[in-house]
Amino acid sequence: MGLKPSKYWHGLLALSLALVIAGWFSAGLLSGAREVVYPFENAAAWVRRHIGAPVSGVFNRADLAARNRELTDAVDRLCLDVARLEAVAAENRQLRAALNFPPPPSYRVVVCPVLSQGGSTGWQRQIRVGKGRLAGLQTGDPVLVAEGLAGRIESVTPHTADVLLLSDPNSRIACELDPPPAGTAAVRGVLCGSGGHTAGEGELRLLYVIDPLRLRFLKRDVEVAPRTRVVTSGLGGVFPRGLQVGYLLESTVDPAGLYREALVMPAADLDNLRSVFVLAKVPEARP
Amino acid sequence: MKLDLPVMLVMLALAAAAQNLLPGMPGSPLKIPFLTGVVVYYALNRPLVMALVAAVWAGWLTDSAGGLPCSCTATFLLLLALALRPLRRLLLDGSFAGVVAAATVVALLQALWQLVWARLALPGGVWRAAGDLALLLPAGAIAGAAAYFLSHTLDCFSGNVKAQTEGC
Repeated sequence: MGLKPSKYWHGLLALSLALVIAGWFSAGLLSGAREVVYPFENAAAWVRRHIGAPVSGVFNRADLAARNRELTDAVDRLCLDVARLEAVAAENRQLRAALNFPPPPSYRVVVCPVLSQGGSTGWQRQIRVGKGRLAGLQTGDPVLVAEGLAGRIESVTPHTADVLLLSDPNSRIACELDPPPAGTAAVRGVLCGSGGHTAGEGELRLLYVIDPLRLRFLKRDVEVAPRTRVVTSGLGGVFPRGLQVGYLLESTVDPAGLYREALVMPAADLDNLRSVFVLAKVPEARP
Repeated sequence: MKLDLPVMLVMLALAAAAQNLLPGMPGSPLKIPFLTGVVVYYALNRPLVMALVAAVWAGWLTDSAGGLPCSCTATFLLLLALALRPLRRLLLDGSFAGVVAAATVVALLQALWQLVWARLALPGGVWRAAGDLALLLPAGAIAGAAAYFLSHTLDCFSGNVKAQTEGC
């Protein structure tokens, strides 16, 4: 089988084995490897965006025109909203100053293209985005799409960031119900990823079951209505308060009878992310 | 001029791109392990030193694509390349059927290794994870078949393997 390998193969093997052994002791090597892979991932994303999308657009020209009209209308509406909200924000700043409230933490929105989803194995519900430390992203920054929260940044390299999605089994987010049920000031819980994935239209539902998220440790005696909005509570300081996460489906008292647990459908379509917005913290100006 | 290294690089690049960009098996989020298929092909059909180099690089590509600790998959594939070597005769001397059969089993073993090494939480509970793992068997077969077909074709065209003796 094959020709006899020459000496440089043995050199390559020695180098490769040294890398593996170094990898056992230093996780930082993986960051370097990610940076090596980044140009290829970025090129694939570029091809998908700049060649794949226009080619499919050729076959859907009628849809594109309608979509263009919808987006133009949406932009007009959003411009009106921005003008209205600027006045509200100015009033909010004045009232905070009058009451000596500290200003809320400010964020900068960074638009990031999604390079890949699920890593190379698919075990984890995560995405990799094409911006990193050089764009001001940090571990823990919230990641959003237009519909709501998608996850948070788990690790960054200079050019990439890995985002742990809400649906990952390791995801834990402090949330509350909005509005709270009548007679309560706030109903808070911890939103846990179930590891499931929302089924898209036309997919095989028998195998591809919708797995909602689980909102745990809610007050036991509070009756919560289905379709109640679930937002971040701001506790813990990782996420700002009020980011939309999803909608409550149903709730039950947990088997131990201590807390109530609710199923929550994420607002964002976590399986079809093309680009996301990262809320990067703006360093506070020194007085 | 021998083209072993360029062929290996092309195969690893293609496998990494396919593994990262293509969706998983229908009904499962798990990706098709094309990189593992390439390592199985090299372990059964090429000299040991090349198989080990391919194993390390494929492992690093898998780990660097996200979610796994450093050297997790590289260590597994390295051990795999060593373990498959004595089994070549049993696996039909690295024929198409042998590579597909080995890749089918190896895909499952690799997923279990990654779950344990990285201490990943089981997505969707034990039964869901068992279903996902079961779907890895056909995924491994697909990866093995694709890796054998492409690698063998490239090796034949480039003259890396002898035409008469190795069925080009």
